[in-house]
Amino acid sequence: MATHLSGSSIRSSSGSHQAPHPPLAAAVLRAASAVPLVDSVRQNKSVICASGAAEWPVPEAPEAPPPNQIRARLPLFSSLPLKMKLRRVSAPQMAHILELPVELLQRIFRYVHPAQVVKYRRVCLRIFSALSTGAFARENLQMHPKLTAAGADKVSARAVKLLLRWPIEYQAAFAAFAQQAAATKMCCGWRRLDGAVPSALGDWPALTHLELQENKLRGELPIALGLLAGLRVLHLNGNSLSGAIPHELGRLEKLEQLHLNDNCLSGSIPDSLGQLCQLQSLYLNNNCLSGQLPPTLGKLNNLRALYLENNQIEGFIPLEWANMARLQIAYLGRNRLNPCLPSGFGRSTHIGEILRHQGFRCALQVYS
Amino acid sequence: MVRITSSDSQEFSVSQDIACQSQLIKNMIEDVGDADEQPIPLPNVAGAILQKGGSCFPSISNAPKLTLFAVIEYATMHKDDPPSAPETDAKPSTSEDIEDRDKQFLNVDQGTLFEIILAANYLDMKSLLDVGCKTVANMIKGKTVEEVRALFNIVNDFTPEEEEQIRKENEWCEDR
Repeated sequence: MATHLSGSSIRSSSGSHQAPHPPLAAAVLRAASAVPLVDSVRQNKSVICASGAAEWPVPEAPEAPPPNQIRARLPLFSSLPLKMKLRRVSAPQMAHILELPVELLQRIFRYVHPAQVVKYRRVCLRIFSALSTGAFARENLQMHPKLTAAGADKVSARAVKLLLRWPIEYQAAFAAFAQQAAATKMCCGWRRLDGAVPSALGDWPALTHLELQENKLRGELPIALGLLAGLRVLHLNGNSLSGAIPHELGRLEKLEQLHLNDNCLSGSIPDSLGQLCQLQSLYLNNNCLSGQLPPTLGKLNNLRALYLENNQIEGFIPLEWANMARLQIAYLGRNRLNPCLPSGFGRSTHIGEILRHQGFRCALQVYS
Repeated sequence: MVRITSSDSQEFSVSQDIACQSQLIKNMIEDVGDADEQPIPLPNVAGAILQKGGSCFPSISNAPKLTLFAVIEYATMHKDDPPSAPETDAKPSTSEDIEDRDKQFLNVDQGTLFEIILAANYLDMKSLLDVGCKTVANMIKGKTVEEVRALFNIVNDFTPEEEEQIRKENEWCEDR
């Protein structure tokens, strides 16, 4: 094509450039067709002499070289590496990276790894706005499928680490990809991860195991956790989570294990937890929970372990709790509970037995 | 043969299979029909001014741009490539996979590189656009924010407070 292109340019050159020496040019052309073009440079002089240069003095190193030299130099030019050709011509008015439209900036930056790209938001305003959209986050993650790929059904530890600290657009994009990849588990305990539990997890309803226990998570539990309809295991114990337990957790109908112990959660235990009919273990010990025990927990027929010790819960053990038929372990100590058990907790009920071991006593006169 | 004119009224004639690597030109030809009738104007792409001032080497003071020339050269280089398969989601390419000949082709100064990217975008030449963007991405990768600013001559237009806020929000990535 290079030769063809030079051919096309010659055509336009002979149109625009008035050849001053028609016979000479004709002679050169003839000569050029006879010998290889590069050689014709060397033979230029003799060609010109042969055509009778006496009447037209040959200019030496002319400002505007006659067309024969153009003709002769073209193949040389096109055999140069493009870099050299371009370097000669494009120095002064350089296009600037910020002249690129936003789509092109995004197209460039999407090749940069998601762990790196966010820092480049700091370069300037225009790049900041280009890199802060949800569409860019999705594109960027899409270009790095390793990060979002689910090994077996689990997302990688590296992805979780990033997820917890990412800007919200990335969290949402990641959750959507994880959902798409049919990942169901996010298990990353004992890793000193910091950050907050992302509310974007609500976009990942396929999640069944959310296990981030014993890390350094801060902040509140997002309400969006209530959207994880398939969640079976929620282990967030041993972090520094604060705030109240969201009422919305009561929507997690498939939840079997709810471990929120050893955090700084406050407020009362939501009534809605009584709707978790599959729940087998409920660990809320070592928090700052207050208020009264919700009677609704009595509906948890499958509950086997209940840890509520070391909070500031007050009031009585609700009568309804006598129905928790499968309960095997219950720790309610180190609270502000009234030690009187309602009369329903007869000797026959298992929970009554357990609670009596912890110092709770039947007080018939109160509940008669 | 297809005739193309650039913004500076340079006319190129290019064979159809080369010209049609540009989706824009391809669509134009399909819309217009016979391409030999009229040259296709590309008002957004600077041409190759090869004869300016009578010299085939344009002097720097003329500042002509060789963008279209470069784009045609790229298209010629790739004219025998198999038609690119539609990009699958499973395996997007990374910025590392650039063919050697493309690497050499794009080993140009920044200004030219951006011109080529803009032209490829306008002409809708996906492969050239991708390879151009990858090249810029490779220039960025691994650099600090300050280095990127210096590299592309970008003025930091954040106030110190704003910059500090962004830095804080994205602190996590600074330590990697």
